[in-house]
This record gives sequence, C-alpha cells and structure tokens, in this order.
Amino acid sequence: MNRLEEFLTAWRLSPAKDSPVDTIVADIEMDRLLEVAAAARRDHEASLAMMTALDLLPESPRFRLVVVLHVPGEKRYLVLRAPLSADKPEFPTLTALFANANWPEREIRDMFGLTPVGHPDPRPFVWKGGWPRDLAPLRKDVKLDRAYPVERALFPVTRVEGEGVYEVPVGPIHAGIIEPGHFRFQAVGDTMLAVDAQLFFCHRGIEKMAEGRDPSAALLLAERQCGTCSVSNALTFCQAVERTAHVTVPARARALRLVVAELERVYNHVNDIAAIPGGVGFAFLGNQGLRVKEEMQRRLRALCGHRFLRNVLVPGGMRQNFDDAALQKIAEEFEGLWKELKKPVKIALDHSIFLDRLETTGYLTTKNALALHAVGPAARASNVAADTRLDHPYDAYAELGSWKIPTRQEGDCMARFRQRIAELDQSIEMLKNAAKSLPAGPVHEPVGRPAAGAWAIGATESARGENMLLVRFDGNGLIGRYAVRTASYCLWPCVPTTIRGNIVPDFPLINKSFELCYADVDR
Amino acid sequence: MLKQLWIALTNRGVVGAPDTLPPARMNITGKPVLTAGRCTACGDCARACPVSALRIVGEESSGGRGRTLEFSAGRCIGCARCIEACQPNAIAFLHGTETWRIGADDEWRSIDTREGK
Amino acid sequence: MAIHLEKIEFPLPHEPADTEALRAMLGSLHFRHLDVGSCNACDNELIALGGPHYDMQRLGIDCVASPRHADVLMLTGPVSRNGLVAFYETYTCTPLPRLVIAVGNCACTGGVFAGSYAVFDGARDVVSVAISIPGCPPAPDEILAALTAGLRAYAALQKTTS
Repeated sequence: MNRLEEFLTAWRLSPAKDSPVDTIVADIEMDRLLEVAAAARRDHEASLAMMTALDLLPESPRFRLVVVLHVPGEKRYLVLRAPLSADKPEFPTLTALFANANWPEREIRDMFGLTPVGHPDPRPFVWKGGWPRDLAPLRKDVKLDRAYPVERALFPVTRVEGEGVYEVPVGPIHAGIIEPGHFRFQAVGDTMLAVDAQLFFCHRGIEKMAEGRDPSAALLLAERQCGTCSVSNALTFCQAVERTAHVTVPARARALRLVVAELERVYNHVNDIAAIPGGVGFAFLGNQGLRVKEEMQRRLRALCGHRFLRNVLVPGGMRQNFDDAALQKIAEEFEGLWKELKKPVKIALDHSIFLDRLETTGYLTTKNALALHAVGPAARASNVAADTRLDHPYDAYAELGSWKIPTRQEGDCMARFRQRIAELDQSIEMLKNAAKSLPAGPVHEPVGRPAAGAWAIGATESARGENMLLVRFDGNGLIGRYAVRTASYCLWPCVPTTIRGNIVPDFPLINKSFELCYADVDR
Repeated sequence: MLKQLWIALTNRGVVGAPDTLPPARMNITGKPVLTAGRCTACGDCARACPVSALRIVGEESSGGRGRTLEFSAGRCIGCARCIEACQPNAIAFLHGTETWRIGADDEWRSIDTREGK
Repeated sequence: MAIHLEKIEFPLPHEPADTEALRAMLGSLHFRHLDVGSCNACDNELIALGGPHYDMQRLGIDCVASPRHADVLMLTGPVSRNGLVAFYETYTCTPLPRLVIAVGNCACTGGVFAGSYAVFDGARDVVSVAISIPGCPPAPDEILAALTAGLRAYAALQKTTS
C-alpha cells in the first residue's frame, strides 16, 4: 500500500471509485476537510496545487469543493472532495494552512457565490465592475444577460501609513506594450514597502464559455487563453480529456508533443532573456534577444504554419504530423540561434551595471516559494526543485530515463536570469535528442465520448511552470466544468513578497524576471 | 479575362488530379484564396468553421455555378479547420501584408481565386 | 446593443478628423497600446515591431508611454467588461484627432470570445474604429502595413475642412 492510501486509511477515508488517472480522490465531509488537509501538510509536506468548485445542479448536495494537493515525491495528486449544499453556501477557509488558498477561495466566492468563512480578505477578486457584483457567473442556473451596465469598481488596497509614506498607482494601462494590471506601491522615498496587484482586467470568461462545448470546440479556447503558452495550455487540456476518455496517445504523438512543448519553452525563455535586460535599460541584449526570438518564430511558422504554435495538438494526439528531418533541422537551427544569443548574454554577464541591478534584487525566499506553491523556473531559482515533467511525468517525458532539472540557491533576479540560461541549454539538448529518435507510427488515436460525470486533471510544465486543468463532462460528451490554474496564477502572489526594500524603478525588472502572464491568470 | 476563362475551362475536373501546388499546410495568416476550379461550393468548410467566418451564398442553379463562398476576415480565428474539411483541397491561406480594412471589419467578401495547374 | 457606464453610452460617437491633420500625424505616428482582454499574442507581435527585424521607428512610428502623447490607440482583445473603464479613461485623455485601430480578430469582432458574458464583441461595440487588422494574431508586417498604407488610405477618405 502506498503512503497516500495509508494516509487515507488512517483518516478513515477510502479512495473514490471515480479517481482519474494520476490522482487519488477522497470524498470527505466539509467539517473534516481542514483537519485532514492539515494532516497531509504536516505529515507529507503537501502543498495546495489547485482549488476549485463544481456546480453539479440538479444533484443534491449541489456543490463540491475540490482541493488538489501535491505531495512531494508522489506521482499522483491527492484530491479531497467535499460536498456543499445550496442552503448553506459556505466552507471553512484553508488560508491559515495554505497561504496560496487566498486567491482561489476569493475566486470561488466571486464566481460561485460560495463564502470562505474566516477568509482574511473580503475584497472582490475577479469582479471589476463588469457585471452585477453578486451574479456568480459559474453557477449553472445563472442567467447571463449581456446588457448589464458596467460599474466603476473602487479598488480598496493595502495601505501603509506613516510619515513620508506615499502611494504610487500604476496601470492598468502601462507604459510599454504590456498586459493590464493595476498596481499600488507603498513607498518611502524610492524604497518600496508593499505592493497590491489587481488583475482580471483581461477576464474573458473562458471557463464559462467552455461549458456546453465538445472538446474540439473547447480546444480553441485553450489555445487562445495565452498567446505564448498555446502548446502547454492545449496540451494540459488534451491530457485531461484523454484521461476522461481513457485514451492512450500513440508513441509518435507523445514524442512530437515533447518536441513542440520544448520548442515553445525555448522561444519563451529567449523572450524572457530579452525582456529582463529591457527592465534595466540594457537595450543591446534586449534587441539581440528580440532578433533571435523573431528568427525562431519564423521557423515555427515554416514548420507548423503558426508563429505561436497553434493548431498542432488535438485530444488523442497530434493534429499535425511533422517530418523527422524538418524537426532535426529546426532543433539544430534553434541551437545555432541560441549559441548566437549566448555571446551578447556573456557580455551582459560581464557588465558591472547589469550585474549590479540584477544581483540581490527581488529575493524570492525558499520558504515563501514553498508556502505559495511557486512553480517553474522562478521556484527552481529559489532552490525548489519542482518540475511537472519530473514530478508528474507525461507523454515522452515519462520515457526520458533519469534526468535532473538544474536549480539555484540565490532566488534573486540574477538567479532567475541564469536559471533560464541553464534550462535553455537543457531544452535544446532535449529537443535534439527527441528529434533524432522519433518513433514511427500514427500520431492520432480517436477519442470516444467521455461518460457523463467523467472527470480528470491534466498537468504539464509550461515555460513559466506547472499548468493544471480540471475538466468534467456532462452527458452527451459536452463539458460541464473547465477549471484552469496556470503557472502565472501560482507565481503572481510570490511577486509582492519579493519587492520589500527594493526601489520602485526595480519593480519592472522584478516583474520581468518572473515574466508572468496576465491573460493566463485572468482567463 | 480570356486568360481567366481559359484557366476556368482547363481546370474543370481538377478534383482528384495530381496536386502540383504545395500541400495545404496549416498556414493561416494572411488571406484565403481558392484554387481556380476546385471549389464546388459544397459548404463543408462553412460547417467546419467554429466561428462562422465562411458562408455559402446564392441559389443552386444549373451546374451549381450560382453558389459561391464568402469569407469574413474579421471573424476568422485561423484554426485551419476549413483547410482540413475541404475535400477538393481548394482553400489555402496566402501570407500577404495588406490584410487591413478601413472601419470595423465584419464584412463578408468573396474569396480571391488563384491559378492552379 | 447599447452599453452603459454610468451616463456614458457606448459605442462612443464617430469623431470626424480632417485629412490634413491626419496626414501631418502620419510622418511621426505615435501610438499607445491598450490591452483589453488580449491573449497577448497580438501584444507579442506589437513588441516584435520594435525589434530589429521590423524596427518601426525607422518609419517614424513609435509606441509612447502615455495616451496624452498618442495619435492612435492600438486595441488588442475583445474589450473585456472589466477593462471598459480603463479603455474609456485612456480614450478620453488621448488628444484629438485620435484614431482607434483594432488589432487582431478579437478586437475586430470578438473572435473566439464573441458572445461571452465578460466581453464585448470587439472594439466596434465601444468606439468608432478607423482601421481593422484581422488575424489571430496578425503578423507584424501586416500590422506595419496597416499603420502606413492603411492610415494613408484612411486619411485620404476624410474631408478637408479648409
């Protein structure tokens, strides 16, 4: 018996019969949720990977709270599922246990109208005045009328008071070409004390739109949730759908998925390596990075017809098959381009002003990274060796044999910069190896209609970290719930922890060293 | 004019003939073109389009010539499902720089035809 | 479908601009980017315009930090309801003559997000659009063509008041 099963037995729980692949699900009473989650955290160092709600109308009790825990060293996610009735739409907050429960609980309150009792932050989260405050758009019986007037929502923010403390409001429209977010800095002189970030200006209602669609129609939404994470979001979705329908993806498709995922990672990391020096005005490396990124995107268009790698995936495998020779060529070309970029990167790393700005700026401590379930290169630069490709291996990553992801100790902007350099080297290597030994065979396996009530969780590693998606089907093979939690969603709460004591002009740099996506958070 | 007529005549029955054009890749930036003589106005592409950016207009007349395909650039999200759905391989997207339109773009336009062999 | 923000009704009315004023702006076009619900693919293509391959500055085109310095607003995204106030404030503080360019299919018609409770169906629902650039996302050279040839054609269509 595995330690997760032992854990459940010790708490008089048994794995649910509908546990999807790579999860172990336990149905639990709401009043025991806190206790069991606390035990999982205490005994097994579990962290909160995802938290969401389901509206199962007309079932009774109507709602389910779904708490997905990541247990280090376990391939399976531990899922606690607690019922919630419509008569008493409240649940105990988990924020005292998991600091990162703050956001999903506020989101559940805004989107489902379920109240986290004892939550420290009563402010609205997703809602920014676009629709009536108490609408709860993700409830099944809600009537969504598009004629709602828009309100000017006020943003109550965290304030610091004292002599000489002032506030710097920034956004939602920024100075560069950046996505919308509203920031309020509390500063003394140039030194930042706190920042409050308000997001969701990009909220497009993707989760609601996906409901009632079949997987092929929902795939379009997954691909367009974020421009630069098309592959990872689509892959997470395809993986979840395949798990609900119990489809095994053919070997060649699994290998091709690794290739496209790594191609995406490479051009994203190159973009970040261009953006970080942009944050300190080191335009030389910024422009070199943009040049290399453009060259890469042109090759991506030649390969698959799209500069952002859309239209390559489909539930059941690959939508496009590629030539082995074409993939070997693009892998070599990407390697050549990355080698070209390494020259200006080396110049930057020898440049005292560049080093001065990046080093000791924006520390993400290991403690905070763990408490907030930080993911991706940002977590790894703070000595948290988390990587979905290793922790919950999928597709051809499961067949890679033993490999290790590099990590760093420091946790500052420079660490995140160097971390991406190390990961680029590794991704290029992975790409070349994968392109050399592609198995032959079909690239697509038909996906049958998932059963009513079938659900699964998909998890993949995007360039920013672990993306997760829960999909649940109603009857007729149509989606009943589509819940997304992306890497940026995990990392945004980390950013305010890194800024204290830094100067206001370093905020763009810190922000860029995480290079988070707003569209991925806002959905 | 004469040249186009000649192309239209010589391309009749091109369906199923060996394809001398590059294979229809999923290149979806730019604007769509139809290879002359291939489109049968069957409407498969319009049915495959998830955002209704393609439609068949006109009444069926003798020989099916009254029906044509129209395209709304402002609606197309470039998912390439029309390319996959098109049996005679008639639709392709050609990269072009002049895709802009004056005013709000929700107009329907007929699709340009290019020569095919 | 009229949308309301307090007493303001959308779409905002068309603002006539005269040909000469528009011609004058074309030699040194300053735009402000406004993301109202984009997936960031269009934003990435706008960033690419500033890179060495396209280098829009050689054509006199630049992205400015404040709408108060801008001639043109480049809208990306279907116009999210949550972003409407930001759009309105940005639009009203852009000096006249001001033009709106809808970049990408979301900004043209709402694209894949058309019909959602959280968005409008493109920039046309909130403002009079001068130029639309379809594409998901439009390639950088297509955006560049709209900012040069497209705007020249738009200017030529307007009346000269003198």
